[in-house]
Amino acid sequence: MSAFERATKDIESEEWVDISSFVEEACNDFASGQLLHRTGYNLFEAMSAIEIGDPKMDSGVNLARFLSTEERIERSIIPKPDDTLPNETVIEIMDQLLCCQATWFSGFSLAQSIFTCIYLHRHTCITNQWLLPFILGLLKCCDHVRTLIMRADVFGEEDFLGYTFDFYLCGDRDDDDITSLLEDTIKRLSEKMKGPNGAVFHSIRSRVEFVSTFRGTLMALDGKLTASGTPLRTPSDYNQARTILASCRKHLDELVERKGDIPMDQIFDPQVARVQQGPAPARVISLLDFSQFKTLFSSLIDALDAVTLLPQLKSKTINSYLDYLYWFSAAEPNVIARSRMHLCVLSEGKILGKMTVDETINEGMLAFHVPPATVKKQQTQDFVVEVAKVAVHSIRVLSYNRARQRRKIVHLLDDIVIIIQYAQSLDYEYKPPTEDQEDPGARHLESWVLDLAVPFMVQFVELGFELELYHPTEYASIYWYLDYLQGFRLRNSQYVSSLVAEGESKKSKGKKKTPFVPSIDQLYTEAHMALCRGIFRMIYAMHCSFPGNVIPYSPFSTSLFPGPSSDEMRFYHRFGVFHKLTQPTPLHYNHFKETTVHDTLTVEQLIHGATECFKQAKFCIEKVVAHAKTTSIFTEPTQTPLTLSRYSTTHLQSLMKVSVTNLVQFQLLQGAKAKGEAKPLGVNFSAHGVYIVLKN
Amino acid sequence: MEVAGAVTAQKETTTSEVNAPNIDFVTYTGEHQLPLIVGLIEKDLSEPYSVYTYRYFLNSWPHLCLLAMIEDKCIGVIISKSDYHRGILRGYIAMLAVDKTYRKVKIGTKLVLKTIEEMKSHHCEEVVLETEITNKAALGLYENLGFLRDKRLNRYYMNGVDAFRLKLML
Repeated sequence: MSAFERATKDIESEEWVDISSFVEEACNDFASGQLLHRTGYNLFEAMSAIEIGDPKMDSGVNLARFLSTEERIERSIIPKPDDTLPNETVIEIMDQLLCCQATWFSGFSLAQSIFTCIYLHRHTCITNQWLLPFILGLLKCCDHVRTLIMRADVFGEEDFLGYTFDFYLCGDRDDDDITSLLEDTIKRLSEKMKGPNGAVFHSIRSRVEFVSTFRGTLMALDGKLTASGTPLRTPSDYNQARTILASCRKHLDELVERKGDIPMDQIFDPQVARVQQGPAPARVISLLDFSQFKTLFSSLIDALDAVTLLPQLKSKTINSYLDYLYWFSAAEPNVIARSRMHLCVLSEGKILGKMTVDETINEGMLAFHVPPATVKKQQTQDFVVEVAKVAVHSIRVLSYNRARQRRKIVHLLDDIVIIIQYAQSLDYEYKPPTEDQEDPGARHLESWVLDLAVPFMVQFVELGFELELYHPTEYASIYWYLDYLQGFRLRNSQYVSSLVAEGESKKSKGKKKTPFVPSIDQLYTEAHMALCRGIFRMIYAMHCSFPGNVIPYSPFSTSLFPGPSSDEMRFYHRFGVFHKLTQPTPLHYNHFKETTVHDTLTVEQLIHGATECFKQAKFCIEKVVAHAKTTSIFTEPTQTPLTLSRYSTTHLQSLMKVSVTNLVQFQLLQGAKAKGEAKPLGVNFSAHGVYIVLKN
Repeated sequence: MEVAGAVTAQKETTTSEVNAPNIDFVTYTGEHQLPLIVGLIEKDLSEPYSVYTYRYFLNSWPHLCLLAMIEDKCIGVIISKSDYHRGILRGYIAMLAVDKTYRKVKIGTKLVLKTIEEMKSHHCEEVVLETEITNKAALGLYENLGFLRDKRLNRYYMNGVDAFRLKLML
């Protein structure tokens, strides 16, 4: 018996005693404001306490008579869910249940979403031949989703509420039985479609097929459809999931909301939450509507599609997997997709259930030109074991929602500090610097770790834009620091290229040296660096042209508590997290002050400097675009709805738009200045989430 | 401190202009002021606080509760606390409310400033609070005082709205 059933029966059968006078008597010894509490009574407990009798807090108030499912049916308040139920009503109930399910997936409680449906509290009363399999399939999906999210454990209370209130989620039903039931129902509906009212049966079938294929996708990605019932390992396992997912998308697209004549407010009663013995507040929530349900599932399917593409990734390095997760996360997938991605990337402690994390790290080092002899050394392999722990931590961090991810990166940096120091000590041991300043000793391992680490630092800063944490007065210092981080990354990569070139020149003595050609990754990083520098100069130029009208150049607004070190403290607050690292060398507020004084430069010179940066960024992006046309991160030509690579056309176009827009605006501004008609320009993020553009 | 449902009742959104009246800023002295405080704050909140929440703050940190009074009428209130967080004495502004009739005359700002001064005198090193990301008036008030947006807290409030954790370093 569910909590709901118990509650509705208890109200009827229990003998109630009025204890008001007893409570009043017990309170006689208390003065107003006194409280009897245990040691350690804290704010959380104070806020969780309710005032009995206050209808806003006490969910039991005014609920002396709550009608159970049977009573509602007996009194004809709701129709009996048997085969007398009109098909139009069946469709409407199905649609409402889908909206409720999407609401639960959005982070609301089961009691306030799916289980507002009165029928579900007495599921044995549901005998309608179409509604019953639909509901069992839907509940089974819920059970899968809940298990998945709990297993992955990359959610916060803001993402998902897993409390079940003891509700029936078909946990005891065999998967194969439900599959057979759904398949049989779809077959019978297909037959019905050939007869009268075919369109109605088609609508019902679309809904049953949608639930069936969504459940099928969840099962396939959980390895429950593989022959051995083990986690997915082979590309064909993932392809099977992808095929079912494509079918699910097709059925979702077919769904069109249908409205019947029977009011739904007694079938879906939000007051259900008030009789639960669990953490459901007394308030009523807004359920997602049909179009919101479709939008949520459409995004979810897009994100799950990215999961099915995992085995098609060409590169098997840890760097590539982290990069894939980085781009996946940027699409802000629902917690279900993030959980699924996390469990597939790291399945049974292995990457995609196949390669050990150590192996992908070794692959990563070799791809970064760490000499094979260095990689093979036992000391390096001991180091790899430590890096693997950080890699697993990194995978988890990238699997959280964006707001939480930024907070988690702070803790990840603590781990990264340790492996940077470890790498430095091994580099030193393998080749200590000699007195010859020309040969300071190669920093292969340190360079590789930094190539892995700096993107997390960049991500930490960039997420601040996405989460709207920065005040416009902070932009100058933010782009200044980003310029430094991107520059560091570029120099680190160039350093490794120089080591490789040096090695090759030793092998081919006497031959003519080949000129240095930047790699595509280096050009990409250089484009970012140029954009950051260009925007910084642009902000300063605008400040000088129209003081205070565009973006105040002063890094921070004037505080009412200025103090001599106020700005410095605020700068430290934004970037202090990087001070735990020795590399890249942390920058201080004084660096910012000293290196950004351009008093000697005219506005024209500043604009010229910014223009050159945007031109350089444009040049680099053009090169990257040319390269991107002939390459893919996947082994096979693949269409994906999400941007999953830095070399995706959409992403590169947005970077190009930043450069071009700012260049054009500069030209217009110069023209207006010449005529004496220059006006202040605003800025916005219309071209890119991180890089601002000037606007009229 | 992340406390689900903690709301800063800061809604200086009306445009009614009033002349700055003679306002007394008084510290919380006892239970007799509780109905005034609750009455003012509840006008602005969709989710009510229990009386236990008020008393938690008022009884432990009465010096950090200030009332803006015009004679016997309470037209503004701020409720705060201070305790150690990761080794730092941190002030926390829990609630701020100003009567609609008296908005736009910086009463909220004065209450915050006086509270911060009190926190400084007790050696707080930082002040934090949460506010809805949609509450532009509150964000403007605090950012003008030098508060930074430290974190974003997804779906922090029971109505599903995100919060910003704002921080001021003293």
